[in-house]
Amino acid sequence: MIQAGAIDCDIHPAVPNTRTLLPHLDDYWREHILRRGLERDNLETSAYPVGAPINARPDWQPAAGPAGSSLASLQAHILDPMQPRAAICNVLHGAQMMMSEDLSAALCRAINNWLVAEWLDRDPRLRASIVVPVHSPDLAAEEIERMAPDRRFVQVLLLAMTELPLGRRQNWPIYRAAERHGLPVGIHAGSSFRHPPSAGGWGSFYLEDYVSYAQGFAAALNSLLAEGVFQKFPDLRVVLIESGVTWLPANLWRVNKTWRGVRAEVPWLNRLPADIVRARVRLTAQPFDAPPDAAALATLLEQLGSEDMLLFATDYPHWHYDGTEALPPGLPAGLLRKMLVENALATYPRLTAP
Amino acid sequence: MNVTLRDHRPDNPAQSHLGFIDCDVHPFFRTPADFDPFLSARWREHRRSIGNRSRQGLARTSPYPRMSPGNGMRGDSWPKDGGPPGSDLDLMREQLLDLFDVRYGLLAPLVGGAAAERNVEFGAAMAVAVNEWQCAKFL
Repeated sequence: MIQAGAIDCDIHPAVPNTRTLLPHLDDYWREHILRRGLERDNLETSAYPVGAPINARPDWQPAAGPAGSSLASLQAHILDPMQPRAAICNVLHGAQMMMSEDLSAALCRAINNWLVAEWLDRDPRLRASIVVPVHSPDLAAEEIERMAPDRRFVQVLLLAMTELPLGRRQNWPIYRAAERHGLPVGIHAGSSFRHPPSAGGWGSFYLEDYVSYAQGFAAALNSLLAEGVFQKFPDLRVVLIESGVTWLPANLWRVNKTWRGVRAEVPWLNRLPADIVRARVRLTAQPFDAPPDAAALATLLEQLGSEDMLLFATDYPHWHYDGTEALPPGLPAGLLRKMLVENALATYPRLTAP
Repeated sequence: MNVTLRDHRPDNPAQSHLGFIDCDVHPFFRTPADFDPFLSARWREHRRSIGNRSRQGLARTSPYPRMSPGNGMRGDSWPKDGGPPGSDLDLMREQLLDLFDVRYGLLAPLVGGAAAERNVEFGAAMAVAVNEWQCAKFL
């Protein structure tokens, strides 16, 4: 059982259907979408099939609509029994990956407006990530500028796998805008499927995709490091959301070792990569791909090398646990306290500032 | 089935008619559950849970949506019962087969996702189901 006052860093409100977004579009785009009939499709992502059990815990299904689409259900399942101090809404939606950058931006604006009206204004415990057209960095930066004055938006949401590795300089307008407003960039599991989710090509099964998302996180993180994003934007923080966590130590060893040998190639990368990651990168711990025994868990936490990195999350309504067992077993008490509250407050300045 | 077109005689020999053959007619399902009678229990369950998975970001529609409702359908082709264009055989007769006295319409079902499916066994099951469905519903 989670103590009251925890901070849930990853919940997923779902847009029930595209018609819901119509009042939140401007006049041009409302007419455009109606004339094309796009309001008849829910624009669900391939990365998260709505009917797959892992994406919708059976006892968290609302009476109607997709899991996560009902505020009353979220209150009944998470907010009222767990009494978190805050819960951060991360919307995953096809808006982020439409081929038309203008249509993508219009739908993202509508989703952010909908988040304000239907979620943030209706429960004071809710916070949200700004949804942006991830393949259009200039339009994404515009949307960050538009939403940043509302301080209930505490983060910018990206996907781990988009058209370009995330560190590439074309993406820097997003990081510049996020840093300017004190917003961490939250990188969520998933792909816009411009490329196969596995580096080896298109697999046959959803199981492969889901497991391969960890490769996507490694690629995103290594790109941010190598391109110098952490040096160029010294106040920027990054949160890896729903990554599984335990792939990280091996990647840190590998990037450290390789950097020692060839760092002249990336002279701006002037610190040990693992030290940069420990200082600037945080990870939500749902799911937590934990080893089964306490000694192995202790070794893993030692390899992670910092108690500041893990953030508590339920990942509602995705199905990673039953009942109220939202925490991986066997975590030390000191780490748990930091994970449930303090690390989130340190990561998201807008959770404490007025 | 093989048909020897050369031997065809119009029912009304006095009628002047080219007797043309429409080589691209698209039948459509009313709901994806229309395929369920032609799927095994195992693939029915798969269709409802994992569903079609192709190599694009959106699960059920194109990331380049067409410019008219129904993903590029003609505005006057929507059946009155609310189903999608191509799903109503009577309307297909009224608007195409009878109106133009089409001798043969060749069905090209762009449905079921078999060709784009990443899970090849599910793709094969959907191909069978779509063929059975078009036989039962249209032929």
